[in-house]
Amino acid sequence: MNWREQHRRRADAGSAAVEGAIIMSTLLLAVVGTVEFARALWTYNTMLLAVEQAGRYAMAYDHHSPVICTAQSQASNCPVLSDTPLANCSAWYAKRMLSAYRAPPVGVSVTVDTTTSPPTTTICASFSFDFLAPQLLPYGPLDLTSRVTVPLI
Amino acid sequence: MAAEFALLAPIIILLAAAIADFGMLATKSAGLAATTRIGAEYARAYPDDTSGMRQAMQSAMSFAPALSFPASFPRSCECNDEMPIACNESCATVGRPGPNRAFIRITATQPFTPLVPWLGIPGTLSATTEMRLQ
Repeated sequence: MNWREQHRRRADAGSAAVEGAIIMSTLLLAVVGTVEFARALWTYNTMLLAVEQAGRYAMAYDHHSPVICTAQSQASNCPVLSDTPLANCSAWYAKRMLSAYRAPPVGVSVTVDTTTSPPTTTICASFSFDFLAPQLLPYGPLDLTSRVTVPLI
Repeated sequence: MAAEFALLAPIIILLAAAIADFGMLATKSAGLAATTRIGAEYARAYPDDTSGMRQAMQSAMSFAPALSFPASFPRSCECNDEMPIACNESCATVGRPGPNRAFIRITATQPFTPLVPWLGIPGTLSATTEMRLQ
């Protein structure tokens, strides 16, 4: 084997290492991205379930004896909250649902609109979703919002 | 290197489209199922107000494209022995264990357009909730 042949083989090995590094990093990015978006989707689905269940709670609320709940706090990206027993209790119900599913700290605020007939309640949940590896992905925190509007009957 | 990438690029793009499509399918199906439960909650209070149920479901979330519904939401009835009976008959009068159980089936459908027409992804999503009325 002359020196020319030897040189070529070493160069080939180097280019294989570079290719491997590129492919591995792409693969890692795909896997991490899948995990992150799966977490985001899970969180969104849990929020959707919580607002839906709280909406059903609000629809049934008037048919049962009212209970008093602590005042809710305003969630970002949501309509201005209403400080009524029904709204506060619906927010409490949604939060209880979220904690039962061990969801991250999602903000919930409930708005009652009495200008329509029948009056409606909007349960809104919002959460600023942070990736586990925010340096790896070119997106900031995702703003997840889910809301449901139910008639008060 | 460029030839390899050209070979790989369509696979990666297809993979990304599949992830997006199935994600949208999951999200839309969950929203549709949620809205039929809200419609069923309305039906529990007003079992004869079909247009009210539709209105409650359509306006529960911002659905795009809009939902569509069957002409009516069918009722079914059974006696306490879990065997069906016509809804206008009373279990007690025909000598079967009462009281009557009445159910309503709330169905909503929504067109779904994936980025890629995958085999097995439906063009129309459908969700049904069955609610016991009495």
